[in-house]
Amino acid sequence: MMKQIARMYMVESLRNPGMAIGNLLPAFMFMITSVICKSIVTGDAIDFMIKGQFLPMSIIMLIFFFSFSSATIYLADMKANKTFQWVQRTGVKSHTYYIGMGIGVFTLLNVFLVLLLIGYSFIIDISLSSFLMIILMSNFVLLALYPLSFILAGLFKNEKVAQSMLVTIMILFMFSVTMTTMFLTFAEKNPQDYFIFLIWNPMLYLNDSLQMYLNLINETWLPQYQYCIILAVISMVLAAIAKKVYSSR
Amino acid sequence: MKDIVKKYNGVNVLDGVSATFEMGYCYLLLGQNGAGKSTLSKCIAGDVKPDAGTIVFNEASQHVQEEVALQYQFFSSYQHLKIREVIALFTTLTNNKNDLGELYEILGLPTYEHILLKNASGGQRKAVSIFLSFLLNKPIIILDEPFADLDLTKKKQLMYYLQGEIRQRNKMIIIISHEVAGLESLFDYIVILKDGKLIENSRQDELYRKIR
Repeated sequence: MMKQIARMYMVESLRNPGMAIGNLLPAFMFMITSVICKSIVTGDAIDFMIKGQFLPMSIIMLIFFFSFSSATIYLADMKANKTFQWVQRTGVKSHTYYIGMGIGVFTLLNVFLVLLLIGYSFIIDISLSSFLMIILMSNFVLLALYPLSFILAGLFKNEKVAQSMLVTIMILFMFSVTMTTMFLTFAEKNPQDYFIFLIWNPMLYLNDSLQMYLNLINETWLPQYQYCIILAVISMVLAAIAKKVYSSR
Repeated sequence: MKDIVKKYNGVNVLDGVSATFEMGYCYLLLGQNGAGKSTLSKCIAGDVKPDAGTIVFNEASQHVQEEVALQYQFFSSYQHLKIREVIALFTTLTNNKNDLGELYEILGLPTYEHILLKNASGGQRKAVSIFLSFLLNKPIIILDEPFADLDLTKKKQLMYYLQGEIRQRNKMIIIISHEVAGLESLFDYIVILKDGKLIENSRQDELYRKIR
């Protein structure tokens, strides 16, 4: 049953042209921009820019759009179209649908993440171990963000409201990490000294890990295993809240 | 149901509706636009919570909505799936082993099962909605204008199918419809709502006697 739900989610997502444009284009645009910049500018500076900004932004956008934006809009649409009522009446357990859809989200994300990383590997050095660790950490961040899509879909009235609110949320999640890191670096301060203020943001752990995997920093703010534990805890807490949101409706 | 009240913006859409519906019968729910028919069906299905009153099924008030399949006017979900894919998904979710081939044919689904839902017409979406209502295999089925968009032959076929479901599976079917010409033999009871109040709940022959 979960397999069928996952398959339907993936088929529907892939047939939706808005998905390709909305979800994939931004992430791959950064890659294309990197290729163009690399062909024009030589030296270490461009490599730092690609590793420090373009690649993390690409991955963050991909994770954000697949796990969060796409899923939230999909679920908000289901709510507005009364699909939830239909699904509830089938007697299928809510966690079955949740996990089934999650398998679909995970599969799609990993397919495009691998393609993205392969694309970047043509212009910057990414070792095989870094490649695999990036995929692993991305999946943990996806695990943390996925339940949030159910919470927000439960709060938003329909797809249109969800879309307008998600831009704000996306900016908050993405730029609170990347801009903080960038400006603190310009100010010659250690960004990791200020990470305590961003512990609520799963993107922090991804960005910090990426910096290490791409040899831009020597070590992450906290050990990697702690990042995985924190993300797993965030996921469980958000999943419990999501369950409460849907049980109360 | 007893003393069902539902207000929207201070207006009583349902004003103390009380009625008993029995299994193994077909009810025609009539009323002008705004009489409260859709609200009543949503209250029975659990989509809308009444402001007052109780609804019980077999003397149990909990989880009544789990026994009800409400056919919405249109099916608007899963826009990028083909109709047969949606039906396959719901067949898996419901684990329904009943053969609904006859209903599938009556609704004309084989002719457009390959169409994406976003490209389906209103009539086709309604057909999907009706089919899924039966796929859910609930004892109580509420249908909203099921005969609209069907030609005369299909109307008769659907009528005979519904009669079969009621007799053989002891279902209770509540139908909201303005198109009843030629289908009178389907309905055991006529329920009439006016301004949120139930003004009639009688057998067809009793109602005709009253009118005369």
